[in-house]
Amino acid sequence: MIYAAWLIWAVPIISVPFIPLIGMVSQRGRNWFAVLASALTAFIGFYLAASFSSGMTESSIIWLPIFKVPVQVLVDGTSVLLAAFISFLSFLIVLYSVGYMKGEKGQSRYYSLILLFVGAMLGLVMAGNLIQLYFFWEIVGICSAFLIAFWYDKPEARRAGLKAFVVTRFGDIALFIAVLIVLANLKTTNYASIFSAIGSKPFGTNTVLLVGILLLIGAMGKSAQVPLHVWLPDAMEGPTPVSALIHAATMVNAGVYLVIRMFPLFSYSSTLLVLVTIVGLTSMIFGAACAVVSEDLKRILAYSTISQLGIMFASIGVGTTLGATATYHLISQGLFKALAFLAAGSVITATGSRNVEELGGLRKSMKYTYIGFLFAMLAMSGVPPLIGFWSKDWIVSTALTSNVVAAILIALSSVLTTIYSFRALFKVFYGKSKLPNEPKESSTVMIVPIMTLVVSVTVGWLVLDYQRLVPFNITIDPLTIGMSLAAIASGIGIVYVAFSSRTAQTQSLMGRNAPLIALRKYLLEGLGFDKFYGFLYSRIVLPLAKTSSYLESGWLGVNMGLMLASVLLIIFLVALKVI
Amino acid sequence: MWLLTVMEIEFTAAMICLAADYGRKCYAKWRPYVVGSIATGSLIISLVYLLYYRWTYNETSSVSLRPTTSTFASLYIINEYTIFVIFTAFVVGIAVSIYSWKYLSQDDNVGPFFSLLILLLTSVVGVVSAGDFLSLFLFWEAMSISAYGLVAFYKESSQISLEASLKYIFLAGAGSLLALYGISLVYSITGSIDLSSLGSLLETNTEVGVFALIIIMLGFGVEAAIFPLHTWLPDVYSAAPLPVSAVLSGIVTETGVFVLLKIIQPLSAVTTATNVNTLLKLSSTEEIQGILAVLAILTMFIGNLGGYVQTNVKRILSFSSIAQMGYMIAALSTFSVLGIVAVVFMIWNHGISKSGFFLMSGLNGKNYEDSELDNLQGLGQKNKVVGIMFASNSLAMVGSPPFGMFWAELLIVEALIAASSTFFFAVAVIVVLNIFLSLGYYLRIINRVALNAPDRPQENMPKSNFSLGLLIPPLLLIALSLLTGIFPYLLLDHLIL
Repeated sequence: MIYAAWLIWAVPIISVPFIPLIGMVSQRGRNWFAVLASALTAFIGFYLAASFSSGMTESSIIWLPIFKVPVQVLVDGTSVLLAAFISFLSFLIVLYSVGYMKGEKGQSRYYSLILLFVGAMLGLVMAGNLIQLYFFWEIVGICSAFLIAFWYDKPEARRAGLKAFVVTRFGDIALFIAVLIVLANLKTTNYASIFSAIGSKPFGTNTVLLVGILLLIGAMGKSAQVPLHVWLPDAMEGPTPVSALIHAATMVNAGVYLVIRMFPLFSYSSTLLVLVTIVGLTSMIFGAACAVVSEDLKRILAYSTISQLGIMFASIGVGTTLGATATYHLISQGLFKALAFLAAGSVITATGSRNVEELGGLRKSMKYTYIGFLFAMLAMSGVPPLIGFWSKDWIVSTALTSNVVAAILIALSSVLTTIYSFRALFKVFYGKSKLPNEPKESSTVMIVPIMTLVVSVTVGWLVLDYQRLVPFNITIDPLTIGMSLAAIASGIGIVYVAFSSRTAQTQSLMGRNAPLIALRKYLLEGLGFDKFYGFLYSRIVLPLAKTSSYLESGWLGVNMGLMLASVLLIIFLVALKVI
Repeated sequence: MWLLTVMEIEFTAAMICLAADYGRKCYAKWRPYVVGSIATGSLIISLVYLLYYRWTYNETSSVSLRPTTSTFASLYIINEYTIFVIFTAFVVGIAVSIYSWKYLSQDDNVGPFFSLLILLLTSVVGVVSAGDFLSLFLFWEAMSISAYGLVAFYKESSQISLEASLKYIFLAGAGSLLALYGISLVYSITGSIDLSSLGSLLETNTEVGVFALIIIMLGFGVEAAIFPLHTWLPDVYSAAPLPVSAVLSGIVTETGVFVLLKIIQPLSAVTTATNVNTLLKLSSTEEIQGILAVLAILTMFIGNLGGYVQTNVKRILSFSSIAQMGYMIAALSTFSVLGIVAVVFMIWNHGISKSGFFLMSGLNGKNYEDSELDNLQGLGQKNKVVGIMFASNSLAMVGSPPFGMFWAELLIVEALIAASSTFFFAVAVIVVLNIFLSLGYYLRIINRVALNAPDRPQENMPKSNFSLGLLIPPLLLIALSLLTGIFPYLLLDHLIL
């Protein structure tokens, strides 16, 4: 069984170099080779899940001899469950890509990067120590950046890719320092050894707090939490399957996974848990608010991802279930968000537009896509008995027992969630079509993954209930169900009232309410963090760089003078016995 | 005596290169290839000999040789670090000399070029393995003189490269003089020119000892581009021919850092330490550590900020080299075994990545000299392989896995954190922030060279001219960097003392 834990990430990585090679011979062959490789990965994932008996770690070669850091895989309930989930989803999305990317240039690059991503993501999940996790953590970031910039002829795509790289890298350096502090203090980064050392001498309270904060910053960068969220909405410039796989279902969850994995460390200090909760709740509300006003179909989904990831962080911070609620919501969100993106991608291929104001009335002409998007939105709003209902209401129920404020905020955010979900649904699929000609339904390779995900979203909770990898004992308070049903009803009501009126345009809905218009503008700009980062660059880094270049006069005399001056300074300092 | 044999092979090869240059009548067209293959062949023989020696060498401590019968009779110290750096020098040297076959195919002075290149590499071997100040200084001067000659070695011997060479002579010459003064002070205190005598330097006369050490470090630090002495580096690197910039950045600058390491090693008495984090410090080293760390911080900021305002890839790479010297000096300032291992591993990674980057920084498809970003823009769309090379080299330079630089930077930061003091932790954070800062200009290279479309309309673009002879050496170096990144233990296994 354990060898499957190695194979699951080795198979996609090893198949990467074959993609361009096969691509030279046959384009079709290359595409189906990628599908085959991901199908094999998914098969290994399911095999791993089915044959799982008990948790274990296996080490191989010593990777970093100085600290005896091995390459190791960790097989436990969480990692196996997530590996199975990721490999299943990546198979569906690679299959979908065959249809979506038809006729595009540079498909060898696309499939190589996707497979490399899948391998690195699975490696990240299966990693047995922090160094290995960080190694794969960076590789998924690189794959993500280059896939966002896939259509590099578009300046926005290039910019978005590089922006994603820089912003997530900022989080990464915090994680880097955290990992190295652990390594320096404990001489190991093995999870089990870290947990057993918490609280004792070299890893006391202050160190744990520092490491926890740095880990949290790293997780925030990858999982696009405020204020490091700015890259995710822009990342929607990439191809839609990439958005579905990387920026909705898998990579952005890596931050959540890190916090779940490190839960014993976070739960050691209540300060850390409070911080995690605050970060989560903030992102949840801001993400949802931005999603309500956004006009780009994919950006709505991106902001919604930020919001949903916020809910996961908050549920970890509430901290009663050792992160199990977050794991459940991670899978649930991954399924319905991937479904939403795949359906949105189908809309985009058919119509060529991403602006919800330009679309409308697609319900009849794109029946399967409509069903897919409808189920995604129902699940996202938490309508029973879809998977989103179970995950969200479980979170609210557990929060009610320990942190009532968080519980109420999460429940309230469901109103916003319902509003943006149904707003998108109504604008795209209902009303009158504003397109010049009737769009056609997408090809079968794209519909099959959508329909598979519809089934997963509907019955996924049964599977999650049945599996014994991570025993979720879901208990939902009746009060919670009442609250969430009320939230959904009020959300749908608001959207229905707004769109049944003749003035369906958002601008006209606002009327002349100046504060509302200002708020909308502020939200559309993504909370103004972009401006702040631009300010940091243009007002601090660039002036400093220009100043520093004055030292480079290029005159020999000046250079010699500097050297002499430094020698004289040292003689002077020595003579004065300063040093 | 393998070391001396290697040096003798190399000096002979340098003479043969010069002699073979006179056969220009017999093989006019093939001259660069004939002379070049002699040079490359000699380097390969030396590399193989080095590996053979490493294979049969089982001792764990360092070996001192004091030959009396050889031409190069002096004290040499050979240990893991020395072998590692010599290995780096030969690998970079082989890549550069293969590259130069094609690069010099239009040039007239092939013999002197290869001869100087080999002399430079041999002197590096001498400097790296020198065990006393005499051999250290002599080889240091030989290295500098070869470097002066190579910098001025431009095809049309342009004004800029002559000026750069002159600047280099003045500053590096002044540096050598300073170092010589420091060495004479050390001799006056300890009565010995062995490097190991530095260990007793601070015990007798602390003030003069500290002064002498700082003067020596400043003197050799000119080559290592420490903060106030870094000003020559961008001018020289950007004016020198591409293979020469590659050798200078890949080996010569690192040799400067390695000399600092050789001076620090006896001070910290680390060679006997078994635990990698043991800091066996003498009383007065803390001031030197502080000075080095502060200079390192200034150096890396100057380098990384300087990179932002440059528009020429070679100049960007030069500033990035300054920054990376800063990281190395920061790691050295911990005076720990881990820091030394980190520096030596960084020398390997920086050597192969940066020289590989320099080798292709002028490949704009038209000629080999123009590395303005404007003229390189859109290369990736003309030739996918070149685009991928630029992108992967940039990623390697910012320390992303799966490239070797990641592990080197990891070890550097780890050495600083493991020094377990608040001061060094702050230095570690600054180093990491600087690595982040370097993203700014490397991503600009990725953006403009690898991803962006050419500035000019496609029909006006000159026909692409990417010959294999110029592409294979940098590709080889990237492959090595990737190999180091994925299997770091293959090399790091040889670095534990």
